[in-house]
Amino acid sequence: MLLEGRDLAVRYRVSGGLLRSRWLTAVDGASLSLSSGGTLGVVGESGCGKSTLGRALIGLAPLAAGELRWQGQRVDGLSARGWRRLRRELQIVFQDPLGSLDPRMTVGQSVAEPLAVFEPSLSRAARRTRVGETLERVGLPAGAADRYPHEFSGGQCQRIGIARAVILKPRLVVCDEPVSALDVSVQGQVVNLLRELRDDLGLAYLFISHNLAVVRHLSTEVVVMYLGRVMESGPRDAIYGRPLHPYTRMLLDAVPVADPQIERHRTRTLPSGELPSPLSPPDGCVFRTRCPLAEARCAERRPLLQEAAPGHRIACHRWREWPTGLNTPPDR
Amino acid sequence: MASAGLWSDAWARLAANRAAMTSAALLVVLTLLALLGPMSSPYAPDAIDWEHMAVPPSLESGHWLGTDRLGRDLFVRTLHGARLSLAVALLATLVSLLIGVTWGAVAGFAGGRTDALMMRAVDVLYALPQVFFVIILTVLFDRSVFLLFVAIGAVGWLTMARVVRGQALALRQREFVEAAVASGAGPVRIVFGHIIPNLMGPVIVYATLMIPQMILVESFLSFLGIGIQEPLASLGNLIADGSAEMETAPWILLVPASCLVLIVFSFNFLGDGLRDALDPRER
Amino acid sequence: MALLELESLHVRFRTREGELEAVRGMDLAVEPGECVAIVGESGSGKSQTLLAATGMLAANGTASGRVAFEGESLLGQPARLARVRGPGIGYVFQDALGSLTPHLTVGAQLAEALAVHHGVSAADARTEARRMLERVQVPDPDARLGQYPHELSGGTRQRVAIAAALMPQPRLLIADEPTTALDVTVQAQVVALFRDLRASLGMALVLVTHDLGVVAGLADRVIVMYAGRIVEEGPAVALFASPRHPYTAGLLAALPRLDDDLAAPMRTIPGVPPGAGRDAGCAFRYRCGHASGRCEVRPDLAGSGSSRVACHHPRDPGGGS
Repeated sequence: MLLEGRDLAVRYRVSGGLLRSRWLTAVDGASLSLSSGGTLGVVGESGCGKSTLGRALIGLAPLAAGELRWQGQRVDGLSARGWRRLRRELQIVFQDPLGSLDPRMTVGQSVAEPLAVFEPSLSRAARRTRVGETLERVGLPAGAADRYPHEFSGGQCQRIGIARAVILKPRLVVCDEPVSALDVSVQGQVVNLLRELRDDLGLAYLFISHNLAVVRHLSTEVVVMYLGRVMESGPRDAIYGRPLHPYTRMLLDAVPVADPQIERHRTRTLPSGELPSPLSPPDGCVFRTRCPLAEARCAERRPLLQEAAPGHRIACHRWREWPTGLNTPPDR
Repeated sequence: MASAGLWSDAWARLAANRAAMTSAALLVVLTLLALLGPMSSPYAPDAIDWEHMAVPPSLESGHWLGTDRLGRDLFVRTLHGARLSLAVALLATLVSLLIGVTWGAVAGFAGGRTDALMMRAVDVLYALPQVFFVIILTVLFDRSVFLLFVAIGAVGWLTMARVVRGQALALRQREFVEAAVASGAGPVRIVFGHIIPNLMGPVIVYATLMIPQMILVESFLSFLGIGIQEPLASLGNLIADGSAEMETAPWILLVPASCLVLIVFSFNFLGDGLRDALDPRER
Repeated sequence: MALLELESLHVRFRTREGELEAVRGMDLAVEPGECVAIVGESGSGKSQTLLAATGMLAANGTASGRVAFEGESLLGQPARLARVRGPGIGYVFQDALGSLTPHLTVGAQLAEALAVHHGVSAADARTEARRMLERVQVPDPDARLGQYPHELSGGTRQRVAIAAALMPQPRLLIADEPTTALDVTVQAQVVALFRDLRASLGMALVLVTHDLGVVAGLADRVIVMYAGRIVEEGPAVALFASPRHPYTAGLLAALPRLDDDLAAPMRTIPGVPPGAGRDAGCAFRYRCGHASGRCEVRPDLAGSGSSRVACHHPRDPGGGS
């Protein structure tokens, strides 16, 4: 295993006055693993903790609990300096293509930053060559190095961000909503580029997105999160083909189809009510307040992740009572 | 869309601002005059012309901006005063820039307890009355021009640190700073490579607006008699001198006062122009 | 008579880099009760078209051409615009938080929308506000009336913004990317809400969006824009089934679907979205697989009946190319 996390939690202190402080549990009890060259998709809606989880896995957010192993070594509790040594192998691509590039730096300086940190002995010329090669590898001309980020389109900026992430040939790249801010016609270009780079460089990805159709393209495994908890996880085909958790089913059902004939006559089952505040999540199963299947025990006990099929794990008390079809809960 | 970058964009915008460019030109001329002007005059700043005491501005006397009551040439004295006032202000601003930017950027980037401690220190220093602080310094040590730089700068950096810290806090939230952390950059590299370059815009603006404030503080202190002392001339003590003769010889006040007003206005206009040119929100 | 009519609308912006033409000649007619979707990517001019039509351009923008609401010309008529906005045309923005006043409670802003135009008493306005919240399916409407916008979730906020736009019972509702900032489950709910509201209130709806999935669920007619011009328009069903412009076809193919073939790479349109430069030819030709020498001359929007396309090499209406 490249990366393995068990019962990970991330908590943030939210100011609640001078003496008392409230804690926001952004991620709670998340377990996951990722093998070399694989891609773990993390899906969920805003506030589900997927981005926080992605950052925590590479030391950009503090872990409050749990065990995290990178290539077998414990890395939870590592100091900032310790994490810095690992960054040669752990990189990240951000959601905001322009915002993740320093506006006062040329593209070349931004892409070269990891080189400057990890290979400071490299000559200027050698560094320039590496930057040029990497830019060409992501589909930009080497001459882009001398220009500034604001001169490029969103898709091009995202390619620059990817170049910076792969210039050291890392082993894991966290992709945090890498195509969400891009035009539809360009999203596929970036997804295809990520796929080629994975195959050429043997990268592993943690691919975070709210777009289930995009996640499906790249992932080998998928984790579905809701309000900081993992609801379901498993191989891609299992999650998309035989989703077991009510939330996963509703999430998949909500994805629109670009066909008026279908869309107009479609009735969906969607989560009822509103997303509870992450400051005071419901007891028991966090999804119960919006779940059509919720019953008394869902409030009493928090469902643990249990194996429903080999590798396919689900946190729900009632999953067995559902028919295996894609849609329609039994009592609605 | 030239690839010359953000600074040249800002420069183009500044160049289009007539008030700012006029002020900049005026400041250049004034600075050159202050440096070289006195040489063009036959009078030394402390030379007493017994025949022309407190004469109004005129060409006949040879003192075309007049003399003070000791018969010293006002043109030369005012330029000398402007030179000293500008030097004090520039040096004090530089001192407060260096301390303030570093302090603020480190506090803002570190955040948490470090930030709280560093900023409380600023608050405590803020609470000391500035004039009182300078008086203590001048009492404890000898009066010297150098001390005045230190005293004024030591007070000025506090506001600079607050301005910079606010900017740094905002920058820290930006994705490109997180991207630098993820690239493996350490705190020193991030503060000096990413944070400080990105807050130079507001800092330059603030520094430009700070120089006239510093000139005013120096003038004020000199006016009170705890700043620069006779026979050295600064705009402050010239104005103090002049105010004593306001009713009988108003030019002794008006000449240095106009010079001060000119400098302060020019810096303010230039600062406003720079703010408009560097403000990214307008993009 | 059409409800809203645009004729050769141009929108220009003065910028530091010179003049930028965001909309380059746009014709549009919205009939009472119909839902028209204006689809395009960044730089297509879709949002600026409607902002110009309703007099809400940024200060450095100017609109020229003709805009008429119920036969009355609106362009350069601020008094008439002020009268029409609200009871004539309602507007819902992508950023619901930004479009609601932060220091007013939900109840107060809804009531205000009514009081401005109808002179209704405060108590009546409040009753009406509560009714409207129910109508847009806001959970627990009584509690919401006393809350401030920042206390609401994104989905509820968007519903409140919709309710505020609907309070004066507009004959036309313009929704600019109303679901873009929302999560997928909430998005589906808001689309369903729009469908219900159209059925029950009978107003016309202009939907401005980049999201073809949302369009499919709502629109009767679709207008596709690229680089400030219409490249194709037609009834939704026909346009989705057999797009004629290569850009429309490419956009539909590029939309990721849950049943995409995973062995193949994702379908995309090569190149980058259009810049602001002037161009005598078809703006799409740099990204188009069918481009030829003819495309150096801009094709006119032409066609029969309700379907029109601006392309020298349109695809067969029967599908394929």
